[in-house]
Amino acid sequence: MPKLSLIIKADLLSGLRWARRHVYAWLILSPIVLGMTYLISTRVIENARDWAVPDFSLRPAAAIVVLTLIGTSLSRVAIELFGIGHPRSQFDALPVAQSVQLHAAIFIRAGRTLVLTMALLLIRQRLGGELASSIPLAAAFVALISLTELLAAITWVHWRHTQTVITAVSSLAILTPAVMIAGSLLSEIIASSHNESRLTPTSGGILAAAILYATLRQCHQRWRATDVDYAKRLLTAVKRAPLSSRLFTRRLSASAAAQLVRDLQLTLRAFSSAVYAAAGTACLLIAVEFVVINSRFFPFVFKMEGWLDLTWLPAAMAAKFACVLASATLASILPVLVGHELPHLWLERAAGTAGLDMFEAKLRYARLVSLPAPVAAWLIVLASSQIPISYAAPLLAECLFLWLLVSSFMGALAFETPERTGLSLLMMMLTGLALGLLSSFIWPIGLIIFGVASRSFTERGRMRARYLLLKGAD
Amino acid sequence: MSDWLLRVDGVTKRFGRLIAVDGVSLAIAGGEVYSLVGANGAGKSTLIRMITGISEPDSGRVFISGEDLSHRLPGTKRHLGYLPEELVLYERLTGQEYLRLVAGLKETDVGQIAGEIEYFELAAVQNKLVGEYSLGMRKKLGLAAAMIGGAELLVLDEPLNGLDVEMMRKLRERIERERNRGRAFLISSHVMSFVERVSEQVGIMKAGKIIAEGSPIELRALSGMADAQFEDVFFHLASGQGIGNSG
Repeated sequence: MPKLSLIIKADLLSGLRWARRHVYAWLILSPIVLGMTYLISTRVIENARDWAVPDFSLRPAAAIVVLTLIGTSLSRVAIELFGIGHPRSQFDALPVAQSVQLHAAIFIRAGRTLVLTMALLLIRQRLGGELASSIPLAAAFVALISLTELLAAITWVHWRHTQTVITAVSSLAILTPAVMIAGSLLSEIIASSHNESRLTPTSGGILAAAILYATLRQCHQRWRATDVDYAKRLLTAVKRAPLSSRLFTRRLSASAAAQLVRDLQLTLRAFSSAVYAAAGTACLLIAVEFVVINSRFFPFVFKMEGWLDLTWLPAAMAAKFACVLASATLASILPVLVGHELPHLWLERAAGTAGLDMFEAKLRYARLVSLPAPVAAWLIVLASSQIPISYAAPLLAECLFLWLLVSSFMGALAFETPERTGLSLLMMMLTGLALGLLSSFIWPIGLIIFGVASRSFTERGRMRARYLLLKGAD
Repeated sequence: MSDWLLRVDGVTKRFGRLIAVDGVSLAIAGGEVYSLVGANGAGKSTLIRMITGISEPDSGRVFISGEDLSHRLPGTKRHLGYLPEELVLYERLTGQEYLRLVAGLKETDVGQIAGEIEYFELAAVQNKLVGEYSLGMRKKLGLAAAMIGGAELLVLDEPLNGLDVEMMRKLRERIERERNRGRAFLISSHVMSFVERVSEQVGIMKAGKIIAEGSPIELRALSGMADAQFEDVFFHLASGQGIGNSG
């Protein structure tokens, strides 16, 4: 226990010093971002107060959210667990028991999950639910989700290392019920209409967490030392790729093109599990668009009085929403990529790279990586035959404009808080979604915003990139 | 053979098809300095990572002070001090705070910290964040952390990288002093003059194997280059010339 407290104290002290050096981010930026999030979410909740989600769809949806959470965090959790690139990696050579290292990883993971759970509790309170009765449930959720993430990460690395079928099957056998129970707990936390006793799900969650803990401890004890080298290679892997920077040198400088090619190569080789999660979620959103269009689920009905009104056709709106959501989802890989590349920034510095080139590379990356979204969203609506053929080309133009708007503004924010991936992701998603969804309804507003604000956003992005090159992230 | 502080028995490590370390055996007694030399990718750092228990061999065993490392008992690591080649430190802890953390994890007297800070000339920067340290200062901090705890076996991977000449000399003197007190060293280095000067035993690694082993004088004799620079002796032996026995 004293060794665990020493490790945790070192991590906390380190985090605290980071916070002290970034007072601006905490005092100015965070209240703005958190305030915007709060206002938007409370507004959505207020509007959705009378909307009851049927039980049968809430639980699977919650399980999908949990699965996405696990998928998104897989690389990061593996890095935490094996201490890759972290001073904890050297504790293996010190008289520190493996269980202490595991407990430190659980503590760190639980701390991160706690933030998400507190946000969920806040939403629950806004929906009219009682906060006190949800706390044991939330504690069980934090424990269960943290342990599930850690077990998923360790079994993922072991399976990739050994490629044994038994590892894959046994992992799935344990993780699938864990995800379902976690999904069930999540739905209990956010469902406001439920007044029944929460003792059963809480007890179930705690029991599942205890089983997961015992399994995780066994796996960690058996596999950590054998898999640590493989994990290091897996999570910092560099392989060959066929992309050439000559593809981009017509529009970009050689330096920016080289950076863009590197970024695309890293993405194609899934530098982080966030790539899988973003691609999976984008596909899911396009699938939802298909279902919505073909089931005529869309709630808006407009009276069409002219050709321009076609922009508000339910099917067209569904396509535009899907385009914005999928574009933002795909572009959200960018902050993860920037965080991943930070330790290697010495290369750009040593090579005398200009901030402008660094910014241009990231901006183009955000656009390129999200380009499939408008095309897919448009093809789905076109195939459904629910829009007049004369409107096909204008709708494609609208989708492409929405993609350009979302990806450009998200790309411009790439270097705002490069060392805080979570904050950066939140800020970019909020900006991209707010602008994109607003412009989906009234595209001329989007045109005005793009014309007025894009230049200042771009200029700010260039300055941030230049600052990062000169001063560093920390 | 419990008088060996380190005994490595037929250790092998594979990365996919690549055999990084291939059946290596070696032994180091108390008061002995053993140096591992070899080209990049020869398997030195992989072998060291297995000796320090950071990674596990696919086959073979490592004994430290007679205790089998594969039992993963934390107590076994108390006999070990380690300076990794790739130093990853807490950037936002001060040098002194970092050493206190290491001392705490080694369950040793924090009173040693002041002595190590003084020896490695870190007094002026001990209250500065590690993130502000130069490469040389970081290396000195890593060396101080390895020395804390009075471990019998010290494993130093590339200890000279980033050190100035004066500190290199001080480190050599420290190694000689600690050796005389019965501590053993396993050193991986590319600086042949340093290796020749401090080592009782030198193992030349190539493609995961120890291809030649012996004292610097024995290696000179093996190569037939009595008066040449030790670097030339290394190149001669590493190229496979004049080697009758392999480790």
